[in-house]
Amino acid sequence: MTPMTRSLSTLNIVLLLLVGLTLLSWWAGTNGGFGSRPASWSGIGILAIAMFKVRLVVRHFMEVDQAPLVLRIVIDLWALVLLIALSILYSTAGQHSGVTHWSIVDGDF
Amino acid sequence: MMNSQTQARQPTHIPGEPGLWVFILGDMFMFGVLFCVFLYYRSDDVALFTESQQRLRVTFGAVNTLVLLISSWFVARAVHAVRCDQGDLARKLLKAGIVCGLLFVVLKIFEYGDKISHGLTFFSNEFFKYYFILTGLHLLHLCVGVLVLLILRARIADAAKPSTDLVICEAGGVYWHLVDLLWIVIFPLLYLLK
Repeated sequence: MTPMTRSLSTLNIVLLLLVGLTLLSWWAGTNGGFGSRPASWSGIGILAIAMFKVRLVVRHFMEVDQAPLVLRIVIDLWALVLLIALSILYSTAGQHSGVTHWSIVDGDF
Repeated sequence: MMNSQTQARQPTHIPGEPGLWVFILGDMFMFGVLFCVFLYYRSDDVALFTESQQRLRVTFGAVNTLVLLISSWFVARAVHAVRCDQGDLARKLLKAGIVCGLLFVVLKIFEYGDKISHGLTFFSNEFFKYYFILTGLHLLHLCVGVLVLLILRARIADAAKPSTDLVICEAGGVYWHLVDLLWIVIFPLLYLLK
């Protein structure tokens, strides 16, 4: 498939997929995740969905699927390394019981 | 043998200018570091970050995500239309993309107003410091993107060299999709991760 023959139906399907994945993340983020144990797996799942969405945008909207191999590899590596780094930072975060530092002028909710 | 190998090889095409990708990759790297820094500071005080996150309205973030995804679709279709010499259609699609971009700005202004009216500012705590840094930098990119789309639309209207227009249109489209993909990561980081 060259850029000239990129079909509009592919763009439509990709948009539907992106919207569906966004709604899934939204639902998981506001309804206690995917019910996984430990709970941090739900967060990692949400991050993985985000990176998959990034890949869809890069490949099909930015048209990187037509680009030279080196560009495809660099961007895939960026997404993979970022997913791993964010997952580690998120899942290893300790629960601190204590001191929170607020400086709110009017914190009335 | 050589000929069959050449035929089997897929043709490649760099969207826009190769130099543009240095900027795009540099920006992606910079935001990647910022995303990691945000989660690094979150690990210092998860309770504070979780409590602060509850002050955000997830609906704003989710609707903005959908608005940007739809705008990206319009812009991707506009590039396709330019490629097919459908200038009128491309201008209409770019206009739709610009409207989506402006809608994002309006929603973000409402969101910032909501936070500030409740006393939640850059100085409230670490979470809101990074909330304003990440969303502010992204908003800056988005405003530049809207400007780029406006220039593209005007340029297509004065089309003199279609091949030049295609390269510029691809480059503008790539930048706009960068704005979209950065928000795709910002949304779960700030609004969804508990």
